[in-house]
Amino acid sequence: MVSLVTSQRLTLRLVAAGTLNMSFVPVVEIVGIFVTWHRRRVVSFSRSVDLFFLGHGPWVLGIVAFAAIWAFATPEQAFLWTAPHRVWPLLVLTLVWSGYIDYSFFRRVFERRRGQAILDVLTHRGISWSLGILIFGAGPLAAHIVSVIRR
Amino acid sequence: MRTIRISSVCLVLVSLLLGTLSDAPRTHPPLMVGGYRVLVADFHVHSFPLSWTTLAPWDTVIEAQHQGLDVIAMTPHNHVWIAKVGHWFSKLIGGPTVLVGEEIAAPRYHLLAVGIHDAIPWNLSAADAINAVHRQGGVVIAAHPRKKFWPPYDDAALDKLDGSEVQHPLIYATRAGYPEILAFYERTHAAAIGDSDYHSLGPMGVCRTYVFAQENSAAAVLEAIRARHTVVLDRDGRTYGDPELIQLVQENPEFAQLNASYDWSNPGWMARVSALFGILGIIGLSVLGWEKPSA
Repeated sequence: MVSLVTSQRLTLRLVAAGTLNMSFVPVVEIVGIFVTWHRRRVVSFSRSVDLFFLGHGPWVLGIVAFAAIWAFATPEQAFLWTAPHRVWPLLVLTLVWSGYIDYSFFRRVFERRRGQAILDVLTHRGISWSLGILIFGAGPLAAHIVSVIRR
Repeated sequence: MRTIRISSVCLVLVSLLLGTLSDAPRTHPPLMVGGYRVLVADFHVHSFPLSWTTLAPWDTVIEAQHQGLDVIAMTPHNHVWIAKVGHWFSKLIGGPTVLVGEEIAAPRYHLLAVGIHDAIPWNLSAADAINAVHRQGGVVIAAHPRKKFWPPYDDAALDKLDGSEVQHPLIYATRAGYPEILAFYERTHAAAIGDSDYHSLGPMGVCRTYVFAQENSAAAVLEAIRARHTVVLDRDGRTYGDPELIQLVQENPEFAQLNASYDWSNPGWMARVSALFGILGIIGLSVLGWEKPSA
């Protein structure tokens, strides 16, 4: 994705860089899985991780659609078509769809009741996304929070 | 499923081969105009981590070199250590001139502090932040100064600005973006600056500044910005900056050739096939080609 968005093609240099730098994403997700798995161990942890990551289809499709725009459009067009107000609907769709898949994962694989499964989805996302945002973009976070509070 | 997986792997491998072969670095010979060395610069570049982007400082420096940029300012949000890593790495490999900087992302304004050594706190007023940067010997550039960022700039703050972004990707993303940052620039006496605000989206240098400096060094670039020795072009050929320098470059065919080389509209058939095969391969591997786990 990094390579397609940056250089309109797949290059070894950017694929390697993107893969290495973004490897924190599966790591923080695994931390989130560990916390939810630890409450009641129905299946092994490694199998939980394998099965959880099978539910990433919506994210992959969303990211590939985003990368395809950057790969085939000119940068000027891509900036226009991926402006935040245009990307929000795709992001919301991906969030809801992947949220349902994660909910189903906790219901079926971890054998949670409905309320517990919803709590697990929220716990997993709360942990993995908080860690992810801190690593990815903590720099302007405090100022942004102040800006939102002052609005 | 096995056929899909094998086909997908083949597509990705061919994509990588074509993409890597076609990814030639952009080069240009040193250009002298009016006794100045013309440097291609991007003063608003972010790096992973902490700044909402994906390339580490060393990848960022290599990408800048790949795009033929002579100068970049690495401007992580509200800190400088990432920029210092990039500066060190570029010196190590003989890469472009890397200026240590910071994007001071305050609640009501964003400023680029370029050529500093210590981070400037984000909770200062715009005028105090500008003074703090100047005390460190740096220059201050108003970052994407859209209307919502205007109030903190009183007349004193406007006078102290060394540069103002007049080209930035937001001019493509929003209809109001271009007139707003242009109106802000016209209120200042600052150098015209074009920046890509690089977050690994699109090419670095998609908006860029031509700096007219005595030489390619950090000190000479900072001095050129202070002296307003910059020229910025938009995609329709409108020019901003020093009127005398604009006249010089308009008469210079080598400059026109240099500017025209920064065109990403047609990356070539190998890049197109690489992108197509890569996308199909990724979809095949990620969505269609997984082996169902045993029960």
